[in-house]
Amino acid sequence: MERTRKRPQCVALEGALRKRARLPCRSLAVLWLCASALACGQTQHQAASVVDYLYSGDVGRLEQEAIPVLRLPLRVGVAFVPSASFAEEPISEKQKIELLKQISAEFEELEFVQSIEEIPSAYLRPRGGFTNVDQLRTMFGIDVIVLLSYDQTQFTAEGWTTLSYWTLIGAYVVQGEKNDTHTMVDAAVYDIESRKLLFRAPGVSQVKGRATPINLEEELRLDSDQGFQVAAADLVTNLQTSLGEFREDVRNQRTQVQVSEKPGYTGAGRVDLLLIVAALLLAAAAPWMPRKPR
Amino acid sequence: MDAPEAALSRVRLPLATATVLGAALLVHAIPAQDLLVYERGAIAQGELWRLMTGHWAHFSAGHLGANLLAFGLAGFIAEQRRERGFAWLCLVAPLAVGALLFALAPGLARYGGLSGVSLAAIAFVGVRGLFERGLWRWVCALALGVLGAKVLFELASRESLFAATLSGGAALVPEAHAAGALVGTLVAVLARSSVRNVRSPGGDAYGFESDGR
Repeated sequence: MERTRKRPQCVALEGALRKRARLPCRSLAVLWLCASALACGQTQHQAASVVDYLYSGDVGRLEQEAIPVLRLPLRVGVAFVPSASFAEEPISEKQKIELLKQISAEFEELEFVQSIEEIPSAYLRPRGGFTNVDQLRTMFGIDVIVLLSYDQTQFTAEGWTTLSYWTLIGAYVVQGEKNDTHTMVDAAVYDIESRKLLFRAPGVSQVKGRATPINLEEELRLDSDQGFQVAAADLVTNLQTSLGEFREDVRNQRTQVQVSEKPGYTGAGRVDLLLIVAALLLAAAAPWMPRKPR
Repeated sequence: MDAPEAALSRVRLPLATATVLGAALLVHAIPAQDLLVYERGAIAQGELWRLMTGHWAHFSAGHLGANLLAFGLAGFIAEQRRERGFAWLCLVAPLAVGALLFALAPGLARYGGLSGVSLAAIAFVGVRGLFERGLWRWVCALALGVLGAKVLFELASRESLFAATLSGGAALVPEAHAAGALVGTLVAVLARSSVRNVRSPGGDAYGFESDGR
């Protein structure tokens, strides 16, 4: 069998190359650890604000104070205000549509609401103000608009377990990143004609989670989704309460809102529970009390 | 004795009540409801039948069910007690309530529902009860008190005391209830002059023996 023997010059060259190859690996590891250290205490904030949408486009313009007159039955529009920034929104269109449907369902329960329009985001212009809302009023034939907005902040901090990242394997298995996601979804109900805020309802959530540096982005996205889901459920509950309170305030004239029927309204002659109970009691009592004319 | 009353004296079936309930069910079932519902514009152009048939038209099954229950109970009591004038009430009340709505609610473009006539029937039973003796008189007085308070509350607040939600934005029409209560009271008072003690071989209403006083 013939053996290949390396010459001494070749052996020396090979050793030098191996040493050079270790240098980039070590540099990369150092850079990565530095990046991890810099990532400590990261904060992400994303929002779509009603104030930005309604008022930032018309800076300096003052709305005249007017008493809202709600002409029943109401035609209501529901829409998400667009974000003023061009960054990717943390809430997907699918989630928006789901929330719009939930909010619509709450308003459909009200007998003084004639129709609900779920207005797609494409019809709302960032910082469009009441000019944009007036356009929506004409386009969709609505009297009142429910503007949904959100505000989400995600904090990421690192615990002592991040020391395990030095082992490289630790970065894959140890969840040293502590995430905290605060979400608020808000529904503000405006009378378009008077530009008056009729009432609002908030929904809030706080989601805590942990992640490895490798799947940090994915975990933050999942926390964001969960934050919106919990906040949306909270919003729906609070909206029911706010709607009930608003109705009572209008009924007891505790709010500066006038209510009148729209000319040409549809009316229903319907009996309520009280009348049915009264008729039932009469029917139950009648057989025991024979007719005794005076 | 007039024809409807004579028929009722022979047969104890609540014919007038069944006729009204049947009409409401029929109108709800047929697709021509738009031709029968109360529409102010059409009435003004001469479609006067809508003043009457509008009460038989309903906007949903729940709306229909609640109204049929209330009217059915009131009609059953009236006919079992052989209250004179109830058949006339079934004929007159829809027309009178429709005409009063036309006069008192000019903003009301479209209306449907039997509740005005149901209130007329309950008011009729209550007022006729006031002309009797015994505990029934006080039961009727209490029922009339509740009815009056309800109508006044609705007129003042334009809200139902126990609101039954009706989707589609159809508003409560307190004028219909007030008109119904008024018409029921008037018919009961007018029928009083012809009230007689009805004695039948089988006893009084529900099979109870009348004391004949």
